[in-house]
Amino acid sequence: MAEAPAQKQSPQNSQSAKPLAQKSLRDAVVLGGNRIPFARAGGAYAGISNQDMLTATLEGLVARFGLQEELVGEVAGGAVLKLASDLNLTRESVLGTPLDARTPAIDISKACATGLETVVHISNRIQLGQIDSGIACGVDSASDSPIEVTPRLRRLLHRLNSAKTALDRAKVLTALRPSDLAPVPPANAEARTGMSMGEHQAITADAWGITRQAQDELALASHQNLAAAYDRGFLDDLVTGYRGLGRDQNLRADSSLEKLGKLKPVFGVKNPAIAEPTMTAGNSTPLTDGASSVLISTREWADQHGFAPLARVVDTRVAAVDFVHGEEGLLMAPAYAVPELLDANGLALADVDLWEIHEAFASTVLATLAAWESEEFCREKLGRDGALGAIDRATLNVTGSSLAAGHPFAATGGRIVATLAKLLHERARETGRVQRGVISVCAAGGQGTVALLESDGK
Amino acid sequence: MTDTYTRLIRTAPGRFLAKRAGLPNPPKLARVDDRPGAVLGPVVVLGASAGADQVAQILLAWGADVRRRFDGLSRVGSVVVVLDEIEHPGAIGEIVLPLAGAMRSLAPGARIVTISRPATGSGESLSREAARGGVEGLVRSLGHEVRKGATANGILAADGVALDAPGVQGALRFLLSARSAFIDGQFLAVSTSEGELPGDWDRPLAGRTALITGAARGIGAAIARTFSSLGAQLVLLDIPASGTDLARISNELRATPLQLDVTAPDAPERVIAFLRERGIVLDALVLNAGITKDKLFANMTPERWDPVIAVNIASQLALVETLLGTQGEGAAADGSAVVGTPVISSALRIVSLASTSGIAGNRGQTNYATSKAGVIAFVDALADRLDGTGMTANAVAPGFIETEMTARIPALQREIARRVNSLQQGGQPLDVAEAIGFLSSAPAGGIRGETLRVCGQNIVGK
Amino acid sequence: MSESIKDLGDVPSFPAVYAAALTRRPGAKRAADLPEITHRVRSVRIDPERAAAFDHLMGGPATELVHPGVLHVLAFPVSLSLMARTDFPAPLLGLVHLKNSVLQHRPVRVGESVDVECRVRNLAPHRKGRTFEAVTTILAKDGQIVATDVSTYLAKGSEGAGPETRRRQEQSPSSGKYGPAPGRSGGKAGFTPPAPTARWALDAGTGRRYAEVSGDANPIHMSALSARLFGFPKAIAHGMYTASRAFTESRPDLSRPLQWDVSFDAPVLLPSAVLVRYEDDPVTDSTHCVGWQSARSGKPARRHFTVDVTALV
Repeated sequence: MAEAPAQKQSPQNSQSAKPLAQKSLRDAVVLGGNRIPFARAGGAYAGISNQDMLTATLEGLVARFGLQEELVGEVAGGAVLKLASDLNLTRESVLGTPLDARTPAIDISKACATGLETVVHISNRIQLGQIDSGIACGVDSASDSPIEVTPRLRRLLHRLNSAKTALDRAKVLTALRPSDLAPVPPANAEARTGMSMGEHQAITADAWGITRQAQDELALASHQNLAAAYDRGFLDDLVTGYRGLGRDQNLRADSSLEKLGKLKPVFGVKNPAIAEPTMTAGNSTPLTDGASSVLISTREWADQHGFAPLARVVDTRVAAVDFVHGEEGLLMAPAYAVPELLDANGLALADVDLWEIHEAFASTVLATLAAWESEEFCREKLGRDGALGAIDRATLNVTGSSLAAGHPFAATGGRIVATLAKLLHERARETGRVQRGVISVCAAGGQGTVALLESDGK
Repeated sequence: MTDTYTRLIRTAPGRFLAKRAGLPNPPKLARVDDRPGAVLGPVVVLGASAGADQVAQILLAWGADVRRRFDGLSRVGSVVVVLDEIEHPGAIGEIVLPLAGAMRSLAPGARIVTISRPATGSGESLSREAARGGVEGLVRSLGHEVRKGATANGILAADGVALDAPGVQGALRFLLSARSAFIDGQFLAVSTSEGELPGDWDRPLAGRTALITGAARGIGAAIARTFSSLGAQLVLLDIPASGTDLARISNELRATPLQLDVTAPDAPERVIAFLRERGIVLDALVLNAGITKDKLFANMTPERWDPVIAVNIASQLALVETLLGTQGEGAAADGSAVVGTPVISSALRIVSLASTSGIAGNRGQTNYATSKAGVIAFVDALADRLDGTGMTANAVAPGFIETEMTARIPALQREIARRVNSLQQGGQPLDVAEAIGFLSSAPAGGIRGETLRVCGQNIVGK
Repeated sequence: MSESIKDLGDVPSFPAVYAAALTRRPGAKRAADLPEITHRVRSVRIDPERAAAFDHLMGGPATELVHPGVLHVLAFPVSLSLMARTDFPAPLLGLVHLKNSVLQHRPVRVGESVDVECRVRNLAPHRKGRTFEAVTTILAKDGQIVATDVSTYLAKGSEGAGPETRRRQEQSPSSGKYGPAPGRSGGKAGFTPPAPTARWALDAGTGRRYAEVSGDANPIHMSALSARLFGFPKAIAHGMYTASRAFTESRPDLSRPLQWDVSFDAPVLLPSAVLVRYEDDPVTDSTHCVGWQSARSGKPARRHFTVDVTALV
């Protein structure tokens, strides 16, 4: 790194008595990204592991940017549904790519915000001067998710392992019941409430009075926007085809309100308190397989390698809500984090040119927007003088989002960051003005991570 | 990638059985890795013309063991028969007959190359026309007769093209080398003296940039690897669905990947925008992207017909027309550096993929043969359009090549297909790639509008 | 009346107590009143591993401070041994757990040794029989009372049950013998379910898993087969399992004195899905929890339990 290596001076040197100088922050800029098309669970990537997908995605990024044999500062990645053997998933994936084999890697995990958190991690490292370049990435496979043994069998096996005599071992084994051998798939429910994310969101949607019509319209817009983005070649340098897929398998370019309107509600139907369930398979994201990656660096590194920065990672915020006893909706954390992010940067809603609000469910996006428009919410929950206001819907998810693309949990953050960075760059070029974009990602456990990006380069 | 029968035949018992049963005994063909040297020596140059002397000098300069007679040679590596000045069919025997006695001395993988002038169809000298035309029969027959992986091919140097012209030298070196292992009984016509000798014969594409379509897999990937080993910088194009395969070969060769469906209406513009954004100027364009959707014509539907035409020929027409349209565009009026910058060099080599099916037709391939015959006519016409520009257009027509695509042909049909040529085996994607590599090189500037068959002298067509 | 104390050498084992109850001589005479005796076990160590297993089963992290449910199961065999006495006025098998109330004065640490004293009191008539309270006192080494656990049981029988009540029971078989708890509006009629904030998916092994950490291997909890032997159509979840889970999920501050009140209504047949709602009251520093089975195929929603956890200081 460029700073004078004060640490290397000998301890005898009088300099060592002085406190070391505080380093100044540097800009972290997004240079681009790569992902594989997202596939529906059990679809095109059935039988493909997280490591397979992450490796392919990194290979595509290396090819796009000519990073063969490049020693990147760090690769941060993660998966939400992760096999125990994948403890070093990102590093193992890096070793399968043409990147310099000495490239360090770290695994990060924060449910659906994992992908965005890897971007935060790499950006922070770059800003702090710890690395000059990095790759943020994420992957998830709903088709190859880990299946575990029962907790009882696990305890028995551990006891068996530590049993010293044959008799001890026999004793352990006699405690074994047939039911202990049943495999345990990953729970699709919040640990503390036993309710699935969809059931939680159904409560939120109901509480905010989000209509079926509004949700279907948002879903339709997502499909149409993504299809249009593919058609105009916007994703040519963001997506690398994989295993015969050239586009996201979930994308329905020919979707319509009529088709969406015919689907039966699937979430909230078991909740007697919800008179009219509105959430269908059409306005909720399906289980998906996929991986994404983002290349981030300092300006100097970009310049040395001949890359044009697309956008700068300006700031990020995190928040969590207490959903456990129903105080707040499970996926509402970004509704708190975004205002904080905007305040910290002296921005109002209207100062944001592009919004990328992760479509976990159509109603998640709509409830978040409704909250910002609510005088009551903004006063009581956010402690503000009044409502934040409404965003211009034409600036929302302009190239589609998770409802159309699908949502391989840890891969969503990278998809959004690369997309938004390219959009901001493109718009800045068109308008000649600096463009700002906000990313909002909700996550299981009542969490949220949000980020502010600003267009960069020429 | 050797087929099962060939693997069997190479075992001692297999060879014995095959011989007793009169089954084909395909020789192992040496490729450039097996025989890196340009000329398999000793090379005997036949002919008494000044051109023959010139050729002998060229071969000497390449470091070959050059002889002018077979005297005392128990083993002959190569034979170059120079027939550039024959005026009458009666003159051929005198020059070529010494080879008859040496046929059994030809080494495995030996090369016979004739250098003659093409028949012009002119009524000026009937005997000269007959003599020149006769060479074709000689070469094609020798192709059938030579054994153990030896080949016989000819160079047709147009009147006025000296035998040391870059095109003649390039063709000679290519045909003598192991790079032409699966080319047999064919002619390469050198119609002008254009082209340049390369700085390094082993890396004739050094400093040149090539765009290869359909590069993710099969023959396209082989072309990319060959081009890379010949020194070229590469832009590799394939459909988005093959993106990761494309990324992998791009990583392997440090090439620039470009995902694009060549049949998209705006594909040519996207290619041009991509090249301009990266400041890439093409020296070679390899139009390899192709698909098959075989069906007897009685069962042919638009779903099977239209995509084959669209990918195999229509996309080539659109891309070439648009690329050529960028010539002469100056800088944009607003002075922007990006718009209007050239994306093709003035010595562009265009090589398209035809097929022996396009020459002779093939049962079940009406759509494919239509597209490939179209390619053959297209490059011929394109060469005419490019006359005087320094750019060339040619095609390569592969015969049966061992690829993923041909692996899907039913077993018996596949077995027959790969045996019905003089070399009794299918070719490798590398063989096609080598031919394209040569046609894309600087010396090949005088070769224009040709379709070179890489088919092991398949019995179909010429 | 002076209290007599019977010191037990150790906490009795459940099977032994149940076996004694099952093999009771049929002709043995039952007393009219509750025995005025205290069963006591001194210096019972709260096993950290068992406490951790209990915490984990309830879905919480293993803590240094003991879940009051652990104190309950620790003392339960001791009070059972009292109720299994041959002269006990009601048969042990068939007792219905109606309510449970724990007052914990100070936090208890895992590994701590406590004295356990159990007595019974307040035999009272009830429209379905008689009720009484089993009172457990947990004392620290210094004699300070750490916690008091009062369990209210119903001994079904003719005594105190008027003819009117009996007729009503007969007319509504769905309520059955474990039908709506007396004196509460829950169970069947009158219960309007609120919006749930959680759902428990309780599988058929729920009873066995609780038996493993609590030791309470009462056959009615273990399997459908063994439950049928005692007249239940399916295995039923331990009341104290649902109560303890609700306690954990109410996120109490175990470092503070607290009150944990439970009232049981319709039993939870296994397997089943129990809808649960938590309501935090910041004013009283308490959490109210109700669990129920949703209405289905014409049957109204049935309340299973209500749990209140209140921090006292």
